[in-house]
Amino acid sequence: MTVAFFLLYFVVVFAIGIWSMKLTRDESDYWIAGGKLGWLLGGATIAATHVSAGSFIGTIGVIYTAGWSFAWIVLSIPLAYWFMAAVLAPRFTRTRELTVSAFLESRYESLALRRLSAVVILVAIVVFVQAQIVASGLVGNIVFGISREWAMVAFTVVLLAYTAMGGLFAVVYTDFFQLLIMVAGVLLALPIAVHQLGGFDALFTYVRAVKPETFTWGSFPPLHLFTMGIAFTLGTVATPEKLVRLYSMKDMRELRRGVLFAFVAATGLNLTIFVIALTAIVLFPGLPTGDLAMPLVARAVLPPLLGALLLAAIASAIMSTVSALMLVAGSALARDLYGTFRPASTDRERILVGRVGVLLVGTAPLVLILSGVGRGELVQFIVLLYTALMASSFFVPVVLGVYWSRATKAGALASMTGGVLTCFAWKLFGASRIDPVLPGLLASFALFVAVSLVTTKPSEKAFAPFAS
Amino acid sequence: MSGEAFIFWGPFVAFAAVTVLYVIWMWRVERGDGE
Repeated sequence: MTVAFFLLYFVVVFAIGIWSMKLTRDESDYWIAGGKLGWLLGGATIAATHVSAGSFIGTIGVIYTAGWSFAWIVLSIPLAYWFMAAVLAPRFTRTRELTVSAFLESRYESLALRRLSAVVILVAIVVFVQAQIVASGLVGNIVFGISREWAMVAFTVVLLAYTAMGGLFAVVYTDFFQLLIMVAGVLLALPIAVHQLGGFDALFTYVRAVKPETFTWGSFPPLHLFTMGIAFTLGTVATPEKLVRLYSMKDMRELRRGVLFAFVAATGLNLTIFVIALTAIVLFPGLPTGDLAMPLVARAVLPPLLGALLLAAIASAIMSTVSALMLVAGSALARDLYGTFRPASTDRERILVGRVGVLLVGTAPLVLILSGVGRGELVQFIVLLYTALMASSFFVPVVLGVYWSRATKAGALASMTGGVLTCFAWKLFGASRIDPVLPGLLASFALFVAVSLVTTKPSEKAFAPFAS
Repeated sequence: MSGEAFIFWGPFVAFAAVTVLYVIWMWRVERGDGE
C-alpha cells in the first residue's frame, strides 16, 4: 500500500510539473512566477521551502539525541520572517529582479559581484542539497526496500523532471500540494503515536524514565541555543531561495499575509514534529542515529495508510526544499554565470538555458554523494553550515545594501569574500561551541563598512530605487 | 512553573506571543498605509 501511495504521489507532482509548463511564457514566469503570487500560494511555497529534511529527519534526530531544549530554536522562524516582511522586503522589492545575484549587480553596479555571488550560491546549495538527498535515501529505502543509493537517484530524477519543466510555477504548485501532505501527515500521526503510549501524561512519564535529561538544558545550554538561533535567523533572512520568493509576491500586502501564513505553518509543523520525536525516544530507545526516528515512527507505529502519508510528508519536505534550491542554483548557473558571458537573445532560448542549468546543478549533489563526499554528519548540522554560509555572504550586502547609500561594490565584494572564507575557516579550525555564522557575519559586516568607507562614493543612480 | 515545564512549554508560548504581535504590527502598518 505504501508503494502504491508513493507512486500516486509522484504521479501528482509530475502532473503538476507538466501543467505548470503551460503557465510559463517568459523568463519572469520561469524564475519568479511572473511576480504574481498571492498570500496563500506565496506563503505556502515559503513554508514548504523552509520545512526540509532538516525538520523531518535532522531536527527530530537532534531532539531524540540531545533533548527538548533544541526546540527553542524554532523561535528563529517567526523572528526571521518578521524581519524580512518589516525591514527587508519594503525596500528590496522596489526593483523586481529575477535572481538575487542580479539584484547585487544592479545595486552595486558590479558584474563581478553578480558572478561571485552566483558561485557562492552554487557551492552552498550543492552542500545543502546533499543533506536532503541523503535523507531521501533513508525514506526511499524504507518505502520501497531498495538501496539508499537507488532511492537517492529516483528522488533526484523525479525532482529534476518537474522543476526543470515548470520552473517556479511548478515549484509553487507542488509546494502547496506538498505542504498539505506535510500538515495532514504530522497532524494525523501525532495523536495516534501519543495514543499508543497512553496519552500525553504517560508520554512525559515514559520520556523522563527512558531519558531523564530530555527536559533539561543539557546538551544545549541557553547561550549555545542563542548563537544557533542567530545562525538560523540570519540564514533564513539571507537565503536566495527566500529572497527570490519576495520578488514572486504580487505586492507588500500579499507579502505580509503570506509571511504570516508561512511562519505559522513552518513553526507549527516543526513543533508538532518535535513532539513526535518524544514518542520515538520511548518507542525506539538506543537508535544508532536519531535521523532514523521519524521514518521508524511512520513505519512501525502508524497504521499502513497513515504511515505512508507520514513518509510522503517527509518526502514532500525534502522535495519542496530541493526543488526551490535547484531552481535558484539553476538560475545562478544559467542567468548569472552563463548568461552574463553569452546572453541568449529570445525568451525561449533563455528558458531552455535555464532548464539545462537546473538539470546540471541538480545532478551534481547526487554525483558527489554517490562518490562518498559529504556523508557521516547528522543532516541538521549540514543544514546549519548552509545557513551560516548564506548569512555570512548575503545578509550584509543585501540588507545594508538597501539601507546604506554609501555602500560600494568593493565593500560588497570584500564582505562576501571575507564572510564566506571566515565561515569556512571557523568550521574547519574554530571553536565548535561558537557557530561559524557569528565570526562569518562579523567579518562580513566589518569588511563591508570599512572597505566602503575607504573607496570612492558610488553613484546616486544605483541606490535611487531604495532611497527612503 | 518548574524548570521542566518552562523548557517544554516555552517555545509554544513564545511562538503564540510572536504571532499575535505580528498580526498587531501588520494591522497597524496596513492601517497606516491606508490599505
